Amino acid sequence: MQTKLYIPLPKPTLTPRPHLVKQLNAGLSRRVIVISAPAGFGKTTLLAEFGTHIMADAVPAARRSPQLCWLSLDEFDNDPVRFWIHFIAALQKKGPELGSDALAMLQASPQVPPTEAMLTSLINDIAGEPDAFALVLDDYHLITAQTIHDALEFLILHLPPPPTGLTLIVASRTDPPLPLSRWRVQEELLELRAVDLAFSAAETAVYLNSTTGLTLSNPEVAALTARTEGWIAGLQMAALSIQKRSPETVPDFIRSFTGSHYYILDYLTEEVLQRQPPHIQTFLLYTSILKRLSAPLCDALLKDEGGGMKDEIHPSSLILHNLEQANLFIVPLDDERCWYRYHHLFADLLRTRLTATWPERVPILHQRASAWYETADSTEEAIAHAFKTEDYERIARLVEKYAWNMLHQSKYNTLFAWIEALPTAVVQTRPWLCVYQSWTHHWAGLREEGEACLRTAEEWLARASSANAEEMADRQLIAGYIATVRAHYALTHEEIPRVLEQAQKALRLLPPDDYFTRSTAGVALGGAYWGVGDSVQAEQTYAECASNALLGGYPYRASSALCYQGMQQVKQARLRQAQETFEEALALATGLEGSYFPNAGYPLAKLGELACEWDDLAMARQYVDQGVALCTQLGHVDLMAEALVALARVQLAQQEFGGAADTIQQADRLAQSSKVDPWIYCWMDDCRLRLWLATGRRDEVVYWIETCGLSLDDPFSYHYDLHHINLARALVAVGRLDEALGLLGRLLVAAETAVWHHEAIKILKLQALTYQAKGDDGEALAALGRALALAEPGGYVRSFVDEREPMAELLREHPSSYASKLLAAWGVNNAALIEPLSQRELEVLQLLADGLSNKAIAQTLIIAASTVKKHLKNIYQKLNVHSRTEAIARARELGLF
Amino acid sequence: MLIETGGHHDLTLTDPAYYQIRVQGKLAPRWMAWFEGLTVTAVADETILSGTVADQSALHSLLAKIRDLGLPLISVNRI
Repeated sequence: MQTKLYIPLPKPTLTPRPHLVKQLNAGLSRRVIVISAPAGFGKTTLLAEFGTHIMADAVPAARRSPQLCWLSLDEFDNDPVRFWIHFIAALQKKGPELGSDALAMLQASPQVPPTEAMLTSLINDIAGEPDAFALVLDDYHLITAQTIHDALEFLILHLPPPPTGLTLIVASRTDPPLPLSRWRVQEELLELRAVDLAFSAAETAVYLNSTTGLTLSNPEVAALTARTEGWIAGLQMAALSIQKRSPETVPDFIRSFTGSHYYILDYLTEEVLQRQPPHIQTFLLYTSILKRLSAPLCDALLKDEGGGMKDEIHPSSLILHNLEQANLFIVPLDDERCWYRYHHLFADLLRTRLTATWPERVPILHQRASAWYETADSTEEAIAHAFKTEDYERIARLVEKYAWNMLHQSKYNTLFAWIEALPTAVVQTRPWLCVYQSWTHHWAGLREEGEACLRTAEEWLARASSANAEEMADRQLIAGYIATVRAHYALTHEEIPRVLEQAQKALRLLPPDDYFTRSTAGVALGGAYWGVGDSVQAEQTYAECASNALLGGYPYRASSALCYQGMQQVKQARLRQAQETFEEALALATGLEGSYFPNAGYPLAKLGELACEWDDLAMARQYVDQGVALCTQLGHVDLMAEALVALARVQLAQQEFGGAADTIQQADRLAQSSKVDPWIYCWMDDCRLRLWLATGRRDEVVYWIETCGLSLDDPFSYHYDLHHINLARALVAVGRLDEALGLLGRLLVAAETAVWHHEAIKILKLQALTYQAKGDDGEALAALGRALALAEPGGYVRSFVDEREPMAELLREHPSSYASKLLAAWGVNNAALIEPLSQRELEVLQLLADGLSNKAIAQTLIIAASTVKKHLKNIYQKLNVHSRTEAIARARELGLF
Repeated sequence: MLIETGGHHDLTLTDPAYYQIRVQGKLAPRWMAWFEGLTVTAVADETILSGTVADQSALHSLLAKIRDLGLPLISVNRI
């Protein structure tokens, strides 16, 4: 990648162009500089010269000199993930930390990256740079992906205005599809076009006679100027053609060249090539198929079947060196002279000759290049060359070989473009490719097409005959993948039994160290356990899923699995453990300098709900506001809806009923625009009902009962989070008490079977209120007692306080310290509880006593190092100590271990 | 491929069509392969590239090749 970030050094033979450099320096006060001109007008050369003169006379001495960053684009950069990774790498030449959070997002996210969120983080980093600098995007015409154009426009629009910020310099053969005319009017754009770049007559004279050392007469210079019209590539080629001639033949050459109507370069390339010795001609033609040249790669191309004699006589390293000396359109790409490239135009000319002269050798050369790149593990290059050979079996083998890495680097677009480019018949004989293709279909919501791919893969598995151990293992792996994909298809379609079946099958088949796929299957399995109401299994499954994701190095996925795990702990009314789990999820979504990634929005919203339950409303509001903002940035509909529900709950507790109504409406709009996770529908109704009850809209409640689509005799759905609890609440509210009691009795059984204590608390609470309304205080207190017993360990407050006066009455009749504490919370918002050490904190303390470092503790418990630090901080606080040794001593005193 | 001489049916983005592209400067016939098999004919100081292109995106990649060589484009005609 470093060769892409290398600023080409200006050649000693350069014709200086101070007037253009001056214009460029002045352009640093604009947001964008566009250099748009056809090939051969010296765009790159001018920018290389600019690199050594940037702001040389405009920087106040006190300020650090600004810098030029550089990115040479190629067609592979049309994959947005690759583009932005390179973009950030280029910026990091300016500041090594610049964009590191954005980079982490790009590299860690198992989904197609959330571009706007990533860009926002990047923009903030750029805005933090104290001085002006510029980034060159060279060869931008190679970028055709609209998503990249859009993202770049977004970035440019939101960059801090110059002179302090970043100026983007876009060099392209075509006008980039950016709003140039608007920026022109707003004076935010400097343009240099072909007419600006063409050599003037004076420059042509300087170039021909001073720079290249020719001694041409004035009329000869004038003739060449007229013929080339200032086109630099043409002039260079003309100079090269003249240089090696004996002086007496020069006038003839100039006469015939300027008189010819042939395409200048065609004419001149012929001239230049014919003056080279045969082995150089062969070298130039053979290596013209390469985007970049290195001596070993060129050697591989030139190797003749059956012997390496030729290499020994003319090693490529020497040829490359000589070509550079002879100024034969070769550009070094690093200081060590490992990599070079031809000037693009020259490469095109050579390639035409190669195709015309030796068409049959072209695929052989590409095959050799591909093989060399394969040995060097340069995936994209190996495959790009392979595609030129039409050896589809080999291409398919390479794609299979690299697919896994591509998926892990989130380069989905590239991978799927490869598979799409292969003939269907080839894909169908390759079960792996079928499986990868089925994922694409899954993401596109095309189940039928995806299933067809999986069936093809299975047919292949069934047909495959006896095999060795390695092949057997591979087949088992494929079967594991097929089951994983199927589990996700089934989850999307809420076919819970099938999810269970397929996900369990996948986990049986997949090897223990395939962390990525195991966690993929685990997410589906956890969802299925949730759907059948097995919170214990669900919690364990999500926990395994999170540790698999961490072991495999996927913090993004681990963070969301931890959130789901925490939600299962909430269901079991283990709110303290849930808090720890959400905090761990948050730590995994936190950048090096404490800034949150957008996926931190989810754990923040969950922590907000917990704080709300514990009646710390100010803290709760802070969490959920951040949660909503980040989830919105992330653009994930399910998470946005969940965060909005959390906000509505806090607003209800804060008695901001207007705000809560707006929030619920927003969430509802999201849920109507696209399908969201099933439990969200239940939560939205819960919020709605509580809002109506708090604002006296009994009519709305009556209408809801009629239209909600739930009835007393329905089977309950765990997947929809026992939605019928809402119906029971509504029935109680409108006085249909006996119906409510019947429903609540059945719901309680369902909740207890699932170990859903959180829901059991709600149900028992409603039972207590119903019996109270019926005047049966004995039953009411019995139900309340059960609710309190379940709620006390988790320290529930708000669930009771929210039921207002009727609940207060009941609590007064239930003498217990917990009831008194709850009653004290009526009117007070902040319940300061002195907490004992949590289970996790005890584990950390034990490991600390065993002499482990923070890092070793993190590895042992499979948690983030920052989480360990947080635990230590809490432990110190709770034990009132200030060091590790003090903590251990104090713990021994207290008999903690 | 039937070359129509007039009264074209409406062209869609996916239709193959016969094009004639004129550029400034003479190109040798060996450029045929470069231009995806189009016939390369040099006339005076111009070159005419003619032949059937598979669809509109093939046409645009031909135009990009002309751009990449720095050949001034004179005209593009569907025949």
